[in-house]
Order: sequence, then C-alpha cells, then structure tokens
Amino acid sequence: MTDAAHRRYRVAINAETLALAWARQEAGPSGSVVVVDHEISPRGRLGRLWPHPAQQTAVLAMIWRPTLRADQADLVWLAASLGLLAAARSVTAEREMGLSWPDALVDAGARRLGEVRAEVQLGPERVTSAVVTARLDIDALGNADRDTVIAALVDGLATGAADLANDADRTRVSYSAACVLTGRRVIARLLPRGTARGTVRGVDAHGRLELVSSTGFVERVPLVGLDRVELWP
Amino acid sequence: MTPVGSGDPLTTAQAFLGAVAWADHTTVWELLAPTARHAVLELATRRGMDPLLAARLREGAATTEERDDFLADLLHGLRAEVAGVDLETVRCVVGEGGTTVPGSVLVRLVADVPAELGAAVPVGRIEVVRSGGRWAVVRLDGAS
Repeated sequence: MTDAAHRRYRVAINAETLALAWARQEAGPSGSVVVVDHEISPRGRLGRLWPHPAQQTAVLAMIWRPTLRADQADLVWLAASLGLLAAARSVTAEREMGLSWPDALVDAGARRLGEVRAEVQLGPERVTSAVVTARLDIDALGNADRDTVIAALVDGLATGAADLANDADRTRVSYSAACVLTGRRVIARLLPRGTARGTVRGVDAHGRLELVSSTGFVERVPLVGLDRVELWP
Repeated sequence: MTPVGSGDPLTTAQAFLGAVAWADHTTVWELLAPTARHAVLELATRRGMDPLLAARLREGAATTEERDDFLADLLHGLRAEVAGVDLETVRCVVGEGGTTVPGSVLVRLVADVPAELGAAVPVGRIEVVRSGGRWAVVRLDGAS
C-alpha cells in the first residue's frame, strides 16, 4: 500500500527510520504514515528492543509537525501515548489498560502491551517535526486483526496529534489521569546514575514526571535523564 | 509525636539516609546538627549565597520558596555523595567515634557482596552526635 500519505513495507530496519527519511528528505507532511510488517530492528526508547516477535506486532510511524516550543518537545511522547491507548481500547472491549510514563502501555498486571517512541527534531526555539512510532502486541489484544489494529493506530495517533495542537495542557492533564503511576510511590532510576523517589503527582507542562515527597518537596524527572521507573514495593 | 532524631545513632542515620533518598527535604534539615547547618550555610555563602538569605535560613525566617530552593540544592549535594550506592540494600552499622566534633559516632554504610568475595564493602558513612537532647547528623560521606 503506497499513496500520498501512507507507505507500507513488507520488511524494513524499522518504521521510524523510513519515516524520518520521509520527513527530512521529502518534507513528508504531517500525518504521513509508514507501516512495516516485519521490523528487523524494532527499537524503542534508549534503543531498547521491542520484545515481541514481528508476527504478533502491529507497528507504524507517523510524521507530526506540531506547533510547540522546544521546551515542550517531550509532550509529543505524552500525546503519542494517549493515541496508543485510544487505539488499544478501540480494538479490545474489556481489558483494563493504562499508561506507564514515559513510553509504555500496560495492563492491570503491569505487562507491557505497547510502546511509543518519539524522535523530535528541533529548530530555533521550537519543534520542527516529530516522528512518532507506536507498537502494539496483537496477541495481548486478543489476536486482533493486524490491519484493524493498524487502522486504529492511525486514528489514535492522528487524534493525539490533533489534541496536542488544540490544547497542550489538556494533553498533560489527560496523560496524568491515564497514567498508572499517578498516586503511586516509585523510584526513578536516572542516567548515568542516581535515583529520585517519591509519590507520582502527574506530569508537568514540559512532560516531566512530578514526584512529591512526604514533606511536600516536588522533584521533576525529565525524560532525557531517565533509565526506568520502578514501583516501590 | 517523636522528635526527629531522638532515637539512637543507628536509627538517626537510617532516618537521614531515608530522608535524602525520598527527598523529605525538611526532615533532612531537621536531622542536621546545628554545627552542620552552620557549616552548610557558611559554604553556601562562600559560593555566592546572599548572606541575608543565609541568615534567614539559619533563623528559620526564610520564605517557603527560599527554603525549598536551598534544600533542593542541599539534597542534590547529599545525593551526589551516595549516587553510586544502592539505597535499597545498603546497611547501616555503628562504628567507632567520629572526628568532626567531640563525642560523635560514625555509622558506616556497607553493601553486602557474595560470600566468596569477602566481607561487606564500605560505601559511605554518616557521622552523628548527641545535640540538644537528640542525635543529629554532622556529616555524610560517600565512598566515591
């Protein structure tokens, strides 16, 4: 399938690579979609490999051209995550799901059902474009039809982009409400080392995770400095 | 309510370590001995803090915002000392007398290692002293 806004490949290194090339070299418009049936190197945040085989994975990358300041760049991750959640909910009726900051879609047992990755291109003081990749584990969604899931992902990410364009703060509020970490005590493992601990209050206007201590001290963990977030037992 | 740091050297050190880890900023300040608070503010002043702000912090007259900004820097400094330490597994062990102030006690932070590698490894220490009817922290040193 190839048209002005959609390209589909049987095999590729990954969807993000192709979408990035489209965005940079051909000025791909916002909403352009790359679907790959079999990614050879399905990498998420920090280059970590998506653990599920290609046969049970639905993946696409979409070009966004959001109107955001450079310091709001990480909101793209939140909007993409909300799009992923909407897509997953549209193809499964009953499963209890939520978002785990910054990139995961998880079920009630904290099992990773999906993930997003955002490659954001910055210009002077602003975001010029972003390539958002979303992956879903089809098996975990009750063996949904791949093309149905892909269509749901297209709709979900398009909605996420539109909501971000309309009201970035609403995206932040919606994400905080959908995040399974909100209200939980967590340890944020930082890079290259160190930790931050506290009770998750939500995310702030820059997409950072807000941790509140028992004495009311608020720490904000930026996505760039994060290794992983663990729930406190 | 039990006053902060009213227990013994071990529980005071453990409480301090926990407060640093979990960013309980006012607890960290309360657990510091007056000499340690004085030293921290003096160092901050030498590094450019407004002396009037230092005075307000010393007297507890600073605004909440001023206090929180200052304690955020203090927390970051203390965390840097133990950045390489796994605070979930580290143990506190009461050791010998300290050297910073008379009558102080060293509480050693040790990390267990596999038996074949020998005894637990020291990864830091917290020095505490009896001050004003309670145990309070004089200093925190990381091994790094």
